[in-house]
This record gives sequence, structure tokens and C-alpha cells, in this order.
Amino acid sequence: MAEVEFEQVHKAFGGHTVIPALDLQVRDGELLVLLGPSGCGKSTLLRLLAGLEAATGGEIRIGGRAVNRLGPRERNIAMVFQNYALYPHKTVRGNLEFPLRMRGMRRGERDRRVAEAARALGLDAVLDKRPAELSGGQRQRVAMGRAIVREPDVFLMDEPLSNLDARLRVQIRAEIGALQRRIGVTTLYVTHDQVEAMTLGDRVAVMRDGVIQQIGPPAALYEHPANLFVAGFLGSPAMNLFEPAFEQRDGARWMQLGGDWIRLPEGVPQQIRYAGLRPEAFAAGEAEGEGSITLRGEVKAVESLGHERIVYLGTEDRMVEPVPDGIGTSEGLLAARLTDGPMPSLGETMTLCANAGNIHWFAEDGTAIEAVDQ
Amino acid sequence: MNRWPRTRAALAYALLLAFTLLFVAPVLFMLVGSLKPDDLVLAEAGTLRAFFPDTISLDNYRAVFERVPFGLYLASSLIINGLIVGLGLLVNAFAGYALARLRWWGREAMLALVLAVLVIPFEAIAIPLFYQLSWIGWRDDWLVQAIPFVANPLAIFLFYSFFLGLPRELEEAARVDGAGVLRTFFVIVVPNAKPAFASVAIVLFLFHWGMYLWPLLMTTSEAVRPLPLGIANFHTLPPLQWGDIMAFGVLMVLPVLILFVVFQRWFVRGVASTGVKG
Amino acid sequence: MRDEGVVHERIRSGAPVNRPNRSPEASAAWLLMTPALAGLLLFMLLPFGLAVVLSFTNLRMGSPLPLEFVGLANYTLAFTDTGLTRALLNNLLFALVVVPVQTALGLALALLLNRQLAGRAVFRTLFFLPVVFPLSLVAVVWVLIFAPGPDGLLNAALGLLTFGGWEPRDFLNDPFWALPAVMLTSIWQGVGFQMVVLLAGLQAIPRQLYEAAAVDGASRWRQFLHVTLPGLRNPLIFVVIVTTILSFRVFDQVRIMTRGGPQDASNTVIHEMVRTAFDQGHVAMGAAMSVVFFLVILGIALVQRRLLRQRGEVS
Repeated sequence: MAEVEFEQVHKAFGGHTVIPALDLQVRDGELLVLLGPSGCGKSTLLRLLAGLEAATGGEIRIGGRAVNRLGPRERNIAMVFQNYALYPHKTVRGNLEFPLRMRGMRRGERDRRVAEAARALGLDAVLDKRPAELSGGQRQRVAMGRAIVREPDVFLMDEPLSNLDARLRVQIRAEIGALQRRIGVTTLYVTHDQVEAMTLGDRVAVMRDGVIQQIGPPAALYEHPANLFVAGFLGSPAMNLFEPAFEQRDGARWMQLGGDWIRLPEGVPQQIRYAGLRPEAFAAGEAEGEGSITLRGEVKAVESLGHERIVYLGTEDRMVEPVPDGIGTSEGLLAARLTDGPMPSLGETMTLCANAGNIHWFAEDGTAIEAVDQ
Repeated sequence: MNRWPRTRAALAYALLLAFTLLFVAPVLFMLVGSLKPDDLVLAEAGTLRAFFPDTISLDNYRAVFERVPFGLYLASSLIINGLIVGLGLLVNAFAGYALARLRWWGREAMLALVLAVLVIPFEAIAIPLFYQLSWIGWRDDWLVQAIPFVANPLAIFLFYSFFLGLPRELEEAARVDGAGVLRTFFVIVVPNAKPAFASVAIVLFLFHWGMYLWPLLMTTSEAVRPLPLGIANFHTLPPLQWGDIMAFGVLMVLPVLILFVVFQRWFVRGVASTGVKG
Repeated sequence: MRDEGVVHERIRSGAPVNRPNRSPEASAAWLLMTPALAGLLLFMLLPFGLAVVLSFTNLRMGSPLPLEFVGLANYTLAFTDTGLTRALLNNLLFALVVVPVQTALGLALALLLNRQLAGRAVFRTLFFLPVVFPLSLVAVVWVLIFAPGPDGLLNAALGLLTFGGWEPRDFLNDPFWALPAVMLTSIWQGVGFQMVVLLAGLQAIPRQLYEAAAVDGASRWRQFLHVTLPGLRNPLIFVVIVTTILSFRVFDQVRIMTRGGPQDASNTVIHEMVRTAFDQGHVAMGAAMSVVFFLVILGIALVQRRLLRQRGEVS
């Protein structure tokens, strides 16, 4: 058990920089999820910590000990690979005891640990089978077992659920969470799936282009995204991001959204450029009273999920989305998550309202600006 | 494809049988010849008796052992090929692995070197190599017929390609689990590379079992000469007795045939694998 | 690993820790590479360099003359005063006949065997069988098959097929027949190799391509032209190139069957090289022939690379 620290870690492949200068502290015993789109450097970060890649700068510490120059073998970490990387020529038992053998553990202790891990993961019945004879879920458990038998300082998991079908993924996700809480080993968990991140992580670090955009508890990230990228990345459907027109008149600031000019409350800062509204911030119908805004648009698509429906509207408003080099105009539709009201039909014009207090504000460079509560 | 007319099938079979006749006739001729009295081999070569003898004896086989040191030839061939295949698997798999998987300065240069020498045919260096080894007084033993062929660029390349195709995560998992580079190679990579080892073993064996030019240049004593030289010598040893020569031939190809029958799948795959990469 | 212990020492002694640690992997790599590297250097590169050097000298076996450089003399003499030119032409002729015949035959066999057919494995085994025969043995057996007079196997068989119209001859001592006899022997021994490689290539062509072509209304012949042949492009290039190279390396059969005769009619480059260097002791001249031979092979190999690379650019 140990805390993990990255200090000004740099990684380049050839001349191509993947991670410019990364600082990150993982607390002892926590499960930290590294979340980001593919190619954001999250797997590289994991491999740097495992010692499978060498950092080109900075320092990595496990339990206060710098490990840059150590091979994977001396770092006392365990890793679960995306495709499990079970040794095909060894039985389940052989796979589970391999890391113990590599550490020269005596046979009695080895057998005890293997039996313990097998019991914990429900693998007793398949100990003498080979990986090819196992189901997907069993393989995943063997991979987990191989990681826990050794009682490592740190667990690394690289998209461990991506090869499972949807139902199994939910089940194993819960098992991983329970297991990690029980044994309390510091864990870094890499995924591109926000549901995994939100449900599993004590904290989530959202990465993009080798830079950590925001780190914090899942709910905090969802409610207070630090920038446009995090706002657009978390949540499904993603947050609706607008680039409205602004105007100063009558001693107040006005914003044009949904064709109407809306007077902004006092607390809204001056440098805002973008406004974001989560799909669930909308309700059907006209706005009523102060602080509410109304939007209209043509219904382009409706996804009914039974308990709720997601309505996509084409609006006059200018929408944006995070793109590789910053922020670009979006061709997308406005998404609203509605739980009541009549079922809209395609082509009809629909009216939605939202509380202006639910708007997320972003500056020109995409960073979030907290409105001062009134 | 699934339903082709009977006439086509009949035609295909007729063609296949005709080809079979052409391919099998020389082999059968050799086998039958080895079982017939010497004088009849040539005398009956033009008749059907060449393939269906009326008398059968093993006299020729006895003669092979009496007239020439067949046992010595065989032992030499087995020792030389054992060395080439055994050491060759180890040395070339090592190199192929280092080139395919490890990160080290010099890797690119070494890969280029291997691909470059792949083009040098042995015949082009036979003469200087003969001189080079004669100068240091190394000739006329088993080792000189084996050691120069242990490092083989084609074998390195075959291993290299195979290792490139192995999932890298297996080795990474082993490294994380605490195995060093060499341990990872022996405990994880080798057990999962059996097809490559089988293919390379067979390619090396096939290439060198019939080796003729090099032993012809390097050996003078019968005690270290391999079978191909044996049969060539036998062929010129008076009195010319074809039955004996055919018996020698059968004995010479027998070890290969046994291996071939047992490991046929690997033979075919090994030979075809030399063509996969092109 | 012992060297990893050393790493610990270095860290404790305060060496910079932000430099990537690659030494254990690199030293393991060199350890693994060294035996092969030594072999390639000592037994391939060094003698190859020596061949080039020797080819510019006057080295003869047992010659009392002092060793001296003679420039390109060996090269010019090799083409005028030895059998090299004739041998090269023989090799060329050999390649021109054997490569197409053997490839076509190998392709025919592969196509015949590439279907659901009872006894397929048996046929494949039989056709592949000669490949495992040592060339020296094949040569000796075929010497007997080519035996002169009406009792010779081939003479008798041809007599039978032509109802006695065939004039028996001494194939291996006939200036016209000696080279074709060697060719026939080589084709018999080698065609199984072609077949196996092409069969593997055929089986790698996705079935759906044939089904799609059939749905599109392509006849069998058109399927062959537009699906089979393009799908076999790389295996075909490979077997053609390998057979071409082997055609220039022919030695064993010639040495045993004809010794290059009669009157150099079946002489080949390697046979001429061995004869010059060892039978006549003219080592330097033999080395020059080695270099010429290498250049021929290099040329063929370069053609192969170009052909295969073109494919890569298209796809």
C-alpha cells in the first residue's frame, strides 16, 4: 500500500510528445480513474508507472520511493491488461502463482495465496483449466486474481472491462469496486467509459492530450466541470454548449439565447463567452418568471427509453463543441432529457425552458467561470 | 465450389493419378531396385519388373554396410544436423527475439545486417570461407561442417516475424509479474512459439541434411563425412552396383521420411512459412 | 537478475533518477544477439569480404608465385578464358525453362488440391515427398533413370509411349540432352515446394471473394483471372524468385550427373567456380566468379523487393 506521485513527468516517443509535464498525486488506498478519449495519454501514464515505458523526464514515486530507474519487477505493482494477457500455456493455477514464483515464494505459502484468491474470485472449480477453456468473465477474474495474489503496493487496470458484454461489464464492475474497497490497495484505473469512471472512482482525473484537465470526485466533476472539455466529455448526451451573443444595456448584461434577449443576473462575470446546459436542465413548456429562459426548435429525433425520453432539436442558436485544437462550431443538435409531457412528433416545433441558474459559464479559452451565488 | 459436376471430379482424379505416377515412379524405382539383385536393376529397368520384382532380398542392404562405412556416414549426418538444428534454434531465436521485442541501440543496424546477409548465397562464400578456415587449420571434422551454419539469417528472420506477431501484453504481464528479460523469454515466449520453433527446425534440417558442396570441400576422412558425400562416393566406387546404391539411397532418406511422416503438418507449414513473408 | 541489483546501487549512490533506465534490457539484447552476430560476421560477412579481396589477386593453390594484386584481370579473363560465360548462359536457359514449367506445374497441382477431395492429404504428401529427398540422392536415382540404351527406364518408357518409335539415347552424355535432363531432375525434386506455398496462398484467399464473384456472374475462368491470380500475387512472386535464385545455384545435380559435360553443355556457374577454384586450384579466379554470382543473385533479390513493394503501395 502506498501513495503514488507523478512530478513533472514528461514522455515523448521519438520527437512526438505524448505527456508534456504531468503532476498527479494518488492517495494511499484510493481508486483513481484516469478518464479520457483514446490517445489522450492515459494508458501511457499507466505504462510509465508500471515501468513498461521509460519516462523522458520528471519523477515517478511509489510510496515516496523514486522508481524511474527500476524495472517493472522491482516496483511491486500488479497490472490487469485490457485483453487480460493470461499465459495461454499455463493453467489458471499456473497463471495465478506465476507472480509468486517470480518472487521466489515457497510452495506452501504460494498454494495458500492461490487458494485464497481463487476462493475470493470464485475460481476454485477452474483452477486446472487453461485460459482458452474459460468464459470471458472467468478470464477477467483470473486476470484480477493474478493481480491480487501478490498483495502489491499499487494495482493498475487498463480498460479491464472493455472485452466483456454489457451485462457482465456491470457485474464485474461492481465486483472490482467491492474488491478494491475490501483490500484497500491504491488503484489506478484507465478507461474511456464515463459510466465506469463515475461509478468506480473515488476520484476521477479527466485527461486530454497528455494533460489532466480536472481531478476530483465524480459528482464534483459532473456538477462543476472545470472547462468546456470536461463539460462536453462527461454526461450522455453531452452538455449543450452555446456561443450566444452578448450585449451591455440598461446597466445590465444581456445574452441572446433561443431568439430572446435574456437579462443576466448580477453575479455573472464579465468575461463569459460560452454557456452550457445539461440535457436534464430542460423542461417542456414556456418559461415562467424571472431567471428562466425559453428555447424553441424543430424536433429532429426522439429517443424514448421508457422512463425518460431524449429529444433532439435543431435551433437557431450557435452551438459549439470541444475539438482537438480548442473549441469549434458544432453541427450537433440540442439534446433535452424529459421525463414528462406529451410525446413530441418529428418536425413539430417544441418549446423548452430552463432555469438560468443551471447554466455553466465558460470563458473564451474554455475554462469554467463560477457564477457568484446571489 | 460445393457442387461441381461428376465429370470434373473424374477429370481431376485422372490428372492427380497421372501426376502421382510421375512423382512416385522414381521413388518406387529406387525402393524396388534396392531389393533386387544388382545385375537385375539395370537389366530390368526398361520393363515392368522395374516396379514389380519377382525376387526380393535384403542383400543390397547388407552390402551397403559391408562395402562402405554407412554407419559412420549416418552418425556424421546426425551429429552435424543435430548441432545445426539444436544450436541454430537457440541462437537464431535469441537474435530474432532481441530484434523483434527489445529496445536497444543498435537494433536497427542489426536488423539491416540480417536482411542484407539474407541475400548472400552460401555458394558465393564457399571458397573464401574454405580458405579462411583452412588458414587457421580448422577442417575435416564435424564442427566445421556445423558451426558456420548455426547463425542463419533466414531463421532469424522467421523468428523475428513470428515474435512480432505474438501479443506483446503477455511479455509485459510477465515483466510486471516480476520476470526479467531472459526469464520472460524462456518461460513465456518460448512455450508460445512452438510453431515457429518447429518450422525453423524443419527448414534448417531440410536445408542441411542434403548438404553436399561444403563437406565436399572441407572433409577428407570418411569418418566425418555425411551421407550425401557417402552416396556420391558410393556412386563412383567400382564395381558400380546399382542395387547397393539404391539401398544406400533408401537408408539415407529414411530418417527424413520418418520425420516427415510424423511431423508432416509442420514440414508443410515450415516450408510454406518461408514464403509467407516473401 | 544480477544487473538489476546494480541499478539499486546506482540509485542509492545518488545517480540522476530522471534518465530512463534501459540498461538491463539493452544488455540482455546484446547478450541474445551476440552469438548470431558472431556467426554472421565470421562465416558470412568476413568470407564475403575476402571473396572480393581475393578476386583482385593472383592466388592459386600451391603456387610459388608471390601474392599480388592483379586488378580486374580475373574478371575479364573469367568471361573470356573460362567456362563462365557458357555456364551463365546455361543457368539462364535453366531458369527460363524451369521457372515457368515448375511454377505452372506447382500452380496446377495446388489448384487440383484446393478443393473438397477424398485423399487430398495423400496426394499432397506424395507430391511433396521429393522435396525432402537430398539432391545428391535424387541425382543418383535419376542417373539410373536416364541410363543409356533401350533398357534405360526413361528410354524404355518413351519407347513404349511411341510404340517403338523412340530412338534410345545416352541422355547425360548427349550435348543436347544433358542440360534438359538436369532440368527435369530439378523440376521433379522442387515442384512440391511450389505447390505447398501456392496451396497455402490459395487457402488464404477469402471464400467470400469467390462467392461475390459468382453472384456477380463471373465464370470459373474469370474467377481464376480476377480473384485467384491477384490473390496469389505475393506467393507467386515469391516462388518465382526463389526458383530463379535456385536456378543459378544449381550444383549438386550437375556435379553428380554430368560433371558439367559433355563439353560444358550442362556446366553451371557454381560448378565452374568449384572446378576453377578446387579442381584447378585457381582460387582467385573462383573468388571472382563468386562475386559475379553474388551480383546476379543480388539483382534478382532487388527485383523481388521492387515487385513486393509495388504491391505495398497499391494496397
